[in-house]
Amino acid sequence: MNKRRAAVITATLFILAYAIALSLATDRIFLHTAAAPGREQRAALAIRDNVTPFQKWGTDLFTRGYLKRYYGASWYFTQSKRGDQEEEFVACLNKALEQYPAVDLYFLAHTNQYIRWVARLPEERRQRLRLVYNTGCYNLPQGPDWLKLGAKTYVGHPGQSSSEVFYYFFLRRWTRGYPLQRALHESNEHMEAVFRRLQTITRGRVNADWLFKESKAVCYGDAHVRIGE
Amino acid sequence: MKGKVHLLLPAAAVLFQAVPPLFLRYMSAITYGPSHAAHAAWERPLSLLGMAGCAALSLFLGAAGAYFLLTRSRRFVAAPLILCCCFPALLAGAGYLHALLVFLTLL
Repeated sequence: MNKRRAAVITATLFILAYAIALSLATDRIFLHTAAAPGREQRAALAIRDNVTPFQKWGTDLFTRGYLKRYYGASWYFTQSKRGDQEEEFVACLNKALEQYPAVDLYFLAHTNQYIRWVARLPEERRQRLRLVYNTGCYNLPQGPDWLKLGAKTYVGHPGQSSSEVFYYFFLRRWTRGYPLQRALHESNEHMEAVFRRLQTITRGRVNADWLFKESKAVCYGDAHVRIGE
Repeated sequence: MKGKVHLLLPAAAVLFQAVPPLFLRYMSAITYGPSHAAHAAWERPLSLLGMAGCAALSLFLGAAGAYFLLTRSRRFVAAPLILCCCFPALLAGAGYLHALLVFLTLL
């Protein structure tokens, strides 16, 4: 075969491979990735609980880049045991609430009670809390308590959730400036599509309807808020 | 040996696929394992650099393997080797590349 034709076929194979990889990633490409206005006015804190080193590393690698790019300041914590990092987290949050008009919290942890940590802070400081996102199983009922504490909006999962799937889609949309309601709706839709695909691949051993019912993220509070406000 | 490079590349492309999972496990272990060998300041750049290396090598071996098979082998030899060795390497490389771009918040 002549060299030019071989090069064209090789390039086609690469494009085909990337298209397949993209379809397996199940999410769209975001061409507009600039930070929404007011980046210097917002901060974020994220905390990962004590899971396997691979899970900690994966969450860190994914989350830290988005927080750094789309927030004026961000802090990322990883626990090595239950209850670990409380003082550091609370001190950092106190500082963030003092310096930034809007502070988002990401609790990337199994069923948790981080709300007790945040409740230690003065009430007037807590009014600057904006989004609280919690991946914890059965942590959705904390929503009203977070709103009472001062958060503008709370997103959680109702049952034994596979929230990591939702989180992948959600963080990419929320940080790119989607209004919360739209980010929530699209991320839930994509998560359901992943579960349906898993159900097909496992020939029904994964129950997509049950998984989605347990995992569907719900919002308490202002659903129209967006990162660039 | 020099004349067999077009046959060695597809084999190398497949064999190399054992490296990225080992690298990912190693990185997570030195970053968050009991030893905590990695320094916090360079654990992320090192992870991303390693992932870029895995993507580049997978894509290079897959693409070069396919190209040389197409130009130097007969079709009945080239087709199965591309299908079984080169294309999987390209697919894995594309996967690592996409993951890298997502982690870098570029997509």
